[in-house]
Amino acid sequence: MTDETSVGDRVKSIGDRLRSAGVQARSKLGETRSRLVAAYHSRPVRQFRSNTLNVIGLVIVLTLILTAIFAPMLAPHDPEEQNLRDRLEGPSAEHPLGTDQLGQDVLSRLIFGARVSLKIGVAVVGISLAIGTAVGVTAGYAGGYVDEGLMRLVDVLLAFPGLLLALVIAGILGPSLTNIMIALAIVGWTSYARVVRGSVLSVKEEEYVKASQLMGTGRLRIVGRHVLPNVMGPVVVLATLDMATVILSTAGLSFLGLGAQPPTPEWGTMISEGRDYLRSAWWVVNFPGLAIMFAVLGFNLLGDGLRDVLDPREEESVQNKGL
Amino acid sequence: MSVDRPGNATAGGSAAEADDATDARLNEAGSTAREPVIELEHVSKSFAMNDSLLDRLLGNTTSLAAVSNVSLSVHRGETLGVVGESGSGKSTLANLVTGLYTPTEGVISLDGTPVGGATDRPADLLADVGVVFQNASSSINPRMTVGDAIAEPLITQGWSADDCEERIAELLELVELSEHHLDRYTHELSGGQAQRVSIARAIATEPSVLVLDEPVSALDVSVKGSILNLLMRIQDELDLTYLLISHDLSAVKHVADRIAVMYVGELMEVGPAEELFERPAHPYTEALLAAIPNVDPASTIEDTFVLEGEVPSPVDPPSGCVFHTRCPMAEETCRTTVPDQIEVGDGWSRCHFAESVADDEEVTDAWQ
Amino acid sequence: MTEPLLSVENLHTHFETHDRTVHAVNGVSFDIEPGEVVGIVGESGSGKSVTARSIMRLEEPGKIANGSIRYRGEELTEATDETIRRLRGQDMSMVFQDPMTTLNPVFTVSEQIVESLKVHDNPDHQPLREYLRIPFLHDRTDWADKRDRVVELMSEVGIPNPEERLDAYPHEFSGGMRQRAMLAIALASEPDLLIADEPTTALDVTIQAQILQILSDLRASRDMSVMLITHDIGVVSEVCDRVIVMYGGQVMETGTTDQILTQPRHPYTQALLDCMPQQTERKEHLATIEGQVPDQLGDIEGCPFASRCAYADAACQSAPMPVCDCGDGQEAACCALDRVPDPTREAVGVEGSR
Repeated sequence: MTDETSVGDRVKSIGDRLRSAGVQARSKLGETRSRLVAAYHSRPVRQFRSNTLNVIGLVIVLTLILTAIFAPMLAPHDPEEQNLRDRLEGPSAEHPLGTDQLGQDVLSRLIFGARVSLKIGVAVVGISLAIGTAVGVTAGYAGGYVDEGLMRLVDVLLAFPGLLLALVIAGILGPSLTNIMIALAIVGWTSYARVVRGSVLSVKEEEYVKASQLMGTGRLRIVGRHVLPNVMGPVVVLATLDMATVILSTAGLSFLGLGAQPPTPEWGTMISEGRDYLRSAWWVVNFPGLAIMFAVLGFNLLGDGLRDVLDPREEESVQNKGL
Repeated sequence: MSVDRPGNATAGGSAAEADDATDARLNEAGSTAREPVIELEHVSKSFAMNDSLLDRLLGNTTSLAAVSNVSLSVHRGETLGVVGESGSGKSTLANLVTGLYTPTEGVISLDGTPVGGATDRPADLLADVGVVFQNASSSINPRMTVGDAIAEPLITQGWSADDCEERIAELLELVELSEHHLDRYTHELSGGQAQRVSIARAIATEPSVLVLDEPVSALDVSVKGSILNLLMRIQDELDLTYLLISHDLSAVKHVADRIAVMYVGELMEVGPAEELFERPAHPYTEALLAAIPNVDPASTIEDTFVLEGEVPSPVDPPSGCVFHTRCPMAEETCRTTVPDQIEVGDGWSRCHFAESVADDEEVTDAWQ
Repeated sequence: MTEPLLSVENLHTHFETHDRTVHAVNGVSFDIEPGEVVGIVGESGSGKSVTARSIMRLEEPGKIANGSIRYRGEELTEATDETIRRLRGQDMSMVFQDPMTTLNPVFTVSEQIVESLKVHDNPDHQPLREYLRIPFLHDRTDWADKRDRVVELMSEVGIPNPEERLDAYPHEFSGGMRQRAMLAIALASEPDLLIADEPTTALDVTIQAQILQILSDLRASRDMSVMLITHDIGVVSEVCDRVIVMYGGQVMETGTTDQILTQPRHPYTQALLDCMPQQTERKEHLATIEGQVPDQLGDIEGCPFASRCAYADAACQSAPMPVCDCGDGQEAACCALDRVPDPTREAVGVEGSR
């Protein structure tokens, strides 16, 4: 008897726990949902979505990201599968965007090319951002000789035309995707450093930073807690716009033969390889070209939209009208 | 309206009684009670102006004397009000005491020990001086919640999370805020509430001194009173010493024990609040008091003395007595010689004619 | 009875935000007679600035939703752009709080005064080429004529050595001087009504006294009406003949300065006067008003001060307040005046400014 009741009790208690867990999970979900809804209606998000161009930019970028992530599922064929019998065939049911000179499906190569471009973009922007922010914060916050020294280094690097310098570095290191990643990162971090330093210089003078200093807060903590969060706005904008530049540069370098090597599907390489067939098989060159155009457009629109929202400006509110 | 006042204000205690009470409180603490908590000895602060390279090479440097030769002490438990107009140097003075600036000349001592800039001060000294700024919206990181902002000084001093929580609860009660304010941001609070957060943060580490730089200037009239009341209450409860910087003379008169009047970086007059207002011993103090808008319908601006002229630039201050360019009583000696500190009553004044200014009713009437 | 110079009746100015409407001015009525100085006193959010801007038709991005503004009988709420420009050029002028942002930093002060003079002389004919200063097409005789007038105006507002300052830019002037320059620009159009929006709030107290003195002198010498907006009752006491007390977008009380300061009838006026440090003994707890200024989202039924008023009851929050005549022209918008205590009080000045 006791066994049965104890079993019964145990079952009941497990049931209770499950139920309360379920209730908790549902309330957590509800909480998250209401937070998301609140965020959707918050002023910065509203300001962002009020401009159709911003939304278009966001849509394009999201499409790119999803395409890159789900590439294997979306691509109808293996991008590197050669089918010499069907080479240079126009768009058809089998190959919606046609085939190139080696019989590879253009659409599949385009889709996987998105993956390549985004991977490089994220890597380069990530590294540039990291180095640039570190340098910018150090220079801006420390000031004095450190600031002077670092900024002169930046000046030296900026004196070289970016793409040419990347060319030289890639040329020295040898043609490969990894190497142009390195080259572009070396060239790219300087803009971040400048932007960050500028922001840090102004944030440094804010009263709350001074209040923090007076409390005895260490430099590192002040930088991490007060300076960085208020500086990241322009950096995010720069990073988004930089993605566009990096994608374009990657395509350009690959076009010149320094980046992706065949058979890797990359938009720039595709254009390069298809150059000879510009008039006879226009689809081999045009579709990758369009892809580059849309990618760059998308990131630029998104970046512009973010700039309007994230750039530190006095928000025009009814309160500010001085009632 | 809800009048936050114990009983009828016009009956009951007079200000003299209040002063006596402060004196009693200070004397009770023993003979050491009257030692200066903050002391400035011949402190000056100059800023170099950005000259061109050529000027610097030729030696033509311009400097701005924000504070010149200020000697002042603040005693334990008292409120010293520093008043002045723009260019007076009062804000610079506050920054010197907190350590944001270091003096170009002179010595600043806290509790008898000379101190340097904020970066050179030990942690316990920094914890001992709290600062309240004019705008909570700019002196508290707008991305920090109220809870995080108040906790920051505690975390810096190494308090554990539990101790922090306890202390924050205490502080909220002290400043009359409630728990649900903890998750808010300063821009979501009213001016008065935000300033309470600022005060809570300033007293978090149990300081003995508070430096308040225009704490109520940005607030509405109906809210100013509640913050001043709060400041007076916690001063009593926590035995704090206040250095109060303000341009609002009526507010300062209400809360300060002693008042120091500054003009173009120099001290003009220092004295007990009541005395300073009733028998000012310096022409500039007279002019300041005359300029306070008088809420008496019988008297209009036509009946008031209006001080002429502009505040001189601190880059090129006048010779002799700094005030002589605008002083209606100025004479030749005012232009050539810097006046000494002349003791008047329980304070002093830097005017060649201090005594006659203080005593002579006729002189003061001539100012009307 | 002469017609008032300015007559505002039941003015409503609204601001549309993304989800709600802010009723910044919610039913304001008052008159200004020729030659009088009227002070509008209120805290932040009272609607005093928006009222002033509505009168000058500078209410954008707000909108005048209701009510009328009549200047010498002419209705301003529906007036054409030309009418408004003419009025601004010849009859009404405005001076703002921060002269650094209201004076154009790239033009000299005298140029800006001249611009005002030109608009006054010819409000409808302002060809662009006169402002472009093209070397041979520019009419130089104009400047010579105007120069004397500029010097005259600058001395009138108390700028010392005006001839030497003709080429000075705003940043070369101190705060008080810039405010005087703004006054000169405003006076160049020979206004009959000068609206001053917190003209001394950003200034030091001794400079404020100077500006108030100028305003007082100008009123006498030019027989001009002044509408002075401020949050400082002291300022009002120094220069104004009449006072309008505003709160939450509505008028709480109006009366002569003497009446408002010595016999305030409205609970808000009484509370506001009690809050001044001069009214409390030193070191004693100051009087405050519990609660916060309303944010005026949506229309408020009843009195905006009811939530903070010690004498409020249900009737105060359900219907608009009646404007009660308290005798001698004093009016208070309150339905509970019989519950409000005896208003007569000593007006307390600050010791030292005897």
